[in-house]
Amino acid sequence: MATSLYKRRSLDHIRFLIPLAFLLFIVAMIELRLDYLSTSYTFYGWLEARLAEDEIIPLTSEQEIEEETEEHLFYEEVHASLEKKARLFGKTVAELQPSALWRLALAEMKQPTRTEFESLARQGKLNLPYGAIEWTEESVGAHLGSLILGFRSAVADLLWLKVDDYWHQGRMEMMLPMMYTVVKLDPHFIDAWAVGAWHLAYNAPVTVDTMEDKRAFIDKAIVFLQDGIKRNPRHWQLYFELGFAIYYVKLEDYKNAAHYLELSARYRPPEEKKVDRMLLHAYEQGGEYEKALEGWQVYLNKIDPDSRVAPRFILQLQAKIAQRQGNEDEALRLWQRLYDEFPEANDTADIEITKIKARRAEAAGNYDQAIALWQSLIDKVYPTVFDEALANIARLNLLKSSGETATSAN
Amino acid sequence: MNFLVIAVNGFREGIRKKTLIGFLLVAMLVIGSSTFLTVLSPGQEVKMVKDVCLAAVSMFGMLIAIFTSGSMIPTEVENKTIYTVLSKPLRRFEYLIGKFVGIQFIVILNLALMAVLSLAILYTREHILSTVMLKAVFLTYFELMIVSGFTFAVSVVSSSAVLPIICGAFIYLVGHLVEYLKGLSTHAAEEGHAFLAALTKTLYLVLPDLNNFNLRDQVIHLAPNDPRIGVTLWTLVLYGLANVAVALLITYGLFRRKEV
Repeated sequence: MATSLYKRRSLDHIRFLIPLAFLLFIVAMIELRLDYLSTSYTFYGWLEARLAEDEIIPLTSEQEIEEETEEHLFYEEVHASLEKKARLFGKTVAELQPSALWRLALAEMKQPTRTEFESLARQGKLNLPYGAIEWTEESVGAHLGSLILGFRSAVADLLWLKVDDYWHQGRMEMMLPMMYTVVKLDPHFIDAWAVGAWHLAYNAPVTVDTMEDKRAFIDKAIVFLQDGIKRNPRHWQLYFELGFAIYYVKLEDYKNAAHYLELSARYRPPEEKKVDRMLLHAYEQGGEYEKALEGWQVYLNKIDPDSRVAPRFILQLQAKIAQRQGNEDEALRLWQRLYDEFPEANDTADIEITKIKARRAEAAGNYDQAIALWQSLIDKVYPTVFDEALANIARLNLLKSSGETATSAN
Repeated sequence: MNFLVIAVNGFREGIRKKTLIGFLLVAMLVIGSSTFLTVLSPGQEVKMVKDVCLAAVSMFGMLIAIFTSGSMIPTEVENKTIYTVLSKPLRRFEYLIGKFVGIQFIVILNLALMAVLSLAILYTREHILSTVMLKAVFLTYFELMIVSGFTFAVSVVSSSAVLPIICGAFIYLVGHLVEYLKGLSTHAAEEGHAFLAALTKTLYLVLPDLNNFNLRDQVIHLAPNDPRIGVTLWTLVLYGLANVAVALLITYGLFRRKEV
């Protein structure tokens, strides 16, 4: 009797355990799939970051990629393999759309590449973007509270409020480390990257005295934005901040500015036309007048046919090109047209017209007229040409006095 | 269809609980206050609102799911209504399913109310219906369903609601730590501890890994065409359902021989 009851119970247990084991097996299979997707996504993010890194101009020689690192060797190996597959689509890896790159990443994350990738990541040998903070972040303990409950974004927001608070209190030394924590917690917090870099480039330098220290903060801002770009390589804003706010305005390095603004223009949404405009200004400031002119024509024809500024800049660039080619009559005519048609460009046109006239007067030996023309620029308070005008007046006065000396000697 | 009657009855009883109403009100207050938070950080309004709303939905949704699942059966035992119900021609499995479905109705209702308020607040900022927010809340529900399922399993062996509620919170916490077992397993394998490696790997695979649902953070912030979201979202739904099936089977295993 007891044996029968025991058997029945055992059978009952088996009847319960078999479906449980089956269900657990299904759970394990799905977990494996999720694990694979998660690793693939980390790999995809890393790949995008590396591709973005290829576009980034190294700030210092230390920042340049070391050829012999394990990460670089692994990247080369993976890149070569992906390049072969991408050729099937008739493109290079860098040209692939996110969905195509994702499919390639999924295909690539089979063994043994996956084992190698996971192993390198776990050893901290890969510079991983979002998706694997636990693998790379050395101060995980500090973020544990947010990590375990999955509220990373919300915690980043609250810390960001604190950053703002410290900024208003003027406590830069407290603000900067917290800013780095915010972007570690939420690498897709674009405004944190942008505003953080602005603090580093514009506000932090005010707190130090030497030029080296000031420049060090600007370099930190550049590296900070480059990090942001690696984590958000398809977001236009960070390229824009780096190109415009740092290189164009702060450093007046128009070559680098144009490089990052070109990348920003590649990813910008249609409504952000200012990116294209700033890019064309960077070309112009960098002396690439032809490129800028062509860009403004495309801008007017395709991007913003109602643009009020494009015709003005087209005319201005035509004048500059004519001037550079030595065609002063044409340049003068174009500057005069600019002066007449666009009141907002009066100052620029007036300066250029006056300069041409002054040069012509000087060439004709009429130094007094040339001096008067340069003096008129100072009188009209054009700060951009103030130094140039003073230098020219001094030079012309010398020429004039040496001429008078020569005449009296004769 | 007996389980539906039980479910509707469980739902009616559940929504009357003052604790749940309290949680819901506090959640609504937090979600509502997210608009004021944005004043402190101009420029990041939409992100702040999304993050605070989603965090509130997850946190209070978790509390509501744990309290409802943990107290449903113990309350029945305490009020002795369970004896009347089980003396009827009703299979225990149907009873359990009914109660669990009733709990899900409550959780869904609460999540829906919180989601509607969040969407309304977001609408005032963005002037579009935030479908990404809906997706994120949808994902949150499947996470809560797993917590609710395992809390429910504990509740059938407890005579008071305190133990299952504490266990529920523990399940939520452990669920977010399961990911670390993977690292432990690899480390053990590297050190040559094959058994420990196999054990931790198995635990990692079979225990509910709630960190997977952190995708919701990315759902609301990544570009809508981010390639990972589509495929992972539906895998996570499947993962949630499979885990709930495990939880319900365990619940049944514990309850079928319980003397009531």
